[in-house]
Amino acid sequence: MVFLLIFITFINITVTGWGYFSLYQRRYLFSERFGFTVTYLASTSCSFVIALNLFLLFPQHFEVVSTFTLFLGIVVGALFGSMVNMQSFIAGIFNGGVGGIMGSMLGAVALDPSLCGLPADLWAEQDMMLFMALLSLSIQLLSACMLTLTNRL
Amino acid sequence: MPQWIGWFLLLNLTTACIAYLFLYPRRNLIGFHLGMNIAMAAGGGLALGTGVILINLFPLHFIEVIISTALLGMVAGGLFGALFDYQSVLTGYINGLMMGIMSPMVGAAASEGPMFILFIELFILSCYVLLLTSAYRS
Repeated sequence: MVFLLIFITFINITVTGWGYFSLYQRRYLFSERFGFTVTYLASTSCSFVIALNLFLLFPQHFEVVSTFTLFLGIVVGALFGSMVNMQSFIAGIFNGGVGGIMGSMLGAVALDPSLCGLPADLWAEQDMMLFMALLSLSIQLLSACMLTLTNRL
Repeated sequence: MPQWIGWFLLLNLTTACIAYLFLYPRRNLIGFHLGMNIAMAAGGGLALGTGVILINLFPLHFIEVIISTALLGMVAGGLFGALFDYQSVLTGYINGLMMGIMSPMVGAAASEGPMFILFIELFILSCYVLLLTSAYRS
């Protein structure tokens, strides 16, 4: 199960990098509003997915991983936001940080459901890892599809 | 948790349908800035209310509640955004998805009594009323 999670993390990071480079080639065509929308969608979904995967991969180091995913979300948001102007840069930093925090929060609840008052034996660990990996993969692929559809329209 | 909170689900869906049917004939009169905010508020509010109610009704089915709420938020945000243009679709989609994933956790953490759900309902309904008023005056 860990190999599947590592594989899906690799796919997610690859899709993030591919989305960044395919948007980077057309960055002079973006208007201000389009830059804001693309930064909002891409930074939120990519930092959320990467934070969720990293939190499930290293569940022992709680504080280190949650701090690192926050920092990673800010870096991803700043990369996407620095394509257009200052407004999208600020939006990217803020939404990337929020996405990173939310991803580590979902990972913490998935590992220990009694944090939220749910029963502790809500699911087995294998089921939880499979479900979260497939959820993150589907979110990332759907967001990438909607991002690439913007080039056609 | 009492079972009558399930009726709020119906109230939410009815309000969203009424808002959609109200906005549809005047979608050409609304500018893109108001349209983006309408997509964010409508999709996120519907996903928030539905997730908080569903996780209190079925506390043992976390996976199904997460999947259904995320799908509902995505579809509702996309539909409300599709009244205007494609960038509103993108904004409503990602906001509904985030709210739909987060709201079952909020509902599970706050399952003390029906007071929290009443205030969530009041908040969402006042959001919809504000949204319809601003769309009417534009």
